[in-house]
Amino acid sequence: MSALQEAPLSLDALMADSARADCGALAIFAGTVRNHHEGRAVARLVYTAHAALAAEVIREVEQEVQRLFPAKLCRIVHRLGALEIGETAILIVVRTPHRAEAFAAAQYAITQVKHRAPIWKEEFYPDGSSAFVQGCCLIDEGDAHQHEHHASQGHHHPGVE
Amino acid sequence: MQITIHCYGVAARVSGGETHTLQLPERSKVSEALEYFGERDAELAAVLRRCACAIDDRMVTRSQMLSEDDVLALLPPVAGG
Repeated sequence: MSALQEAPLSLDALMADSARADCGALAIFAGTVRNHHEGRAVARLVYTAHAALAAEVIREVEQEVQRLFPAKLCRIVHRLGALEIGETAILIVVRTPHRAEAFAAAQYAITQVKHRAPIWKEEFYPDGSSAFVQGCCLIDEGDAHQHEHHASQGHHHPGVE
Repeated sequence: MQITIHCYGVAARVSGGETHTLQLPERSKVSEALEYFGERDAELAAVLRRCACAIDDRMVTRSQMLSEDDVLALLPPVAGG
């Protein structure tokens, strides 16, 4: 299954052939579209992504979860496009031998995807306006400093257009 | 040399579109492309300060040297999930 998809997410599809005889715990996390954000009513969302990099990050997170907890299985799929209130934006399935690491692994997975995957959420409000949700910066601090320093030097380029 | 800038998320909104063309001196760095692109608009400049960058589906730093016909992806703060 692709890590990103435009069609509604299917838990059955994500769970297919996921059973593990050595796992006694199955954690499922679903992120769904909420009708409010920071006190403001939200009518719907649109998710966009740098598809190649986002898919790569999601696969990295799946592998990290299996290595760090350890989990026997971790699958993640994220929805793109226009979503109505209540629709599922992300599904995560984790299977581990015991319950504690299943909960922890699912928590780790959703946090890492939110912080690292180049996916953007545009909220549309009842009055028709919209705004991108302020999220997590992917740039590391040292690199940002370099840009600030360079810009402060006042270089000018003969660019066009 | 000429490069293409591909904007995502709020960077596309404040720059007025997803794709832009920039003319830059040879051997320009990513930092210099961002600096020049940001001269169009103060709000865009503020967004660019928080953008990570990628070329050919690979994350790059601001010290990365650009080449003719590169497509520089600008990735503002993310909010998946």
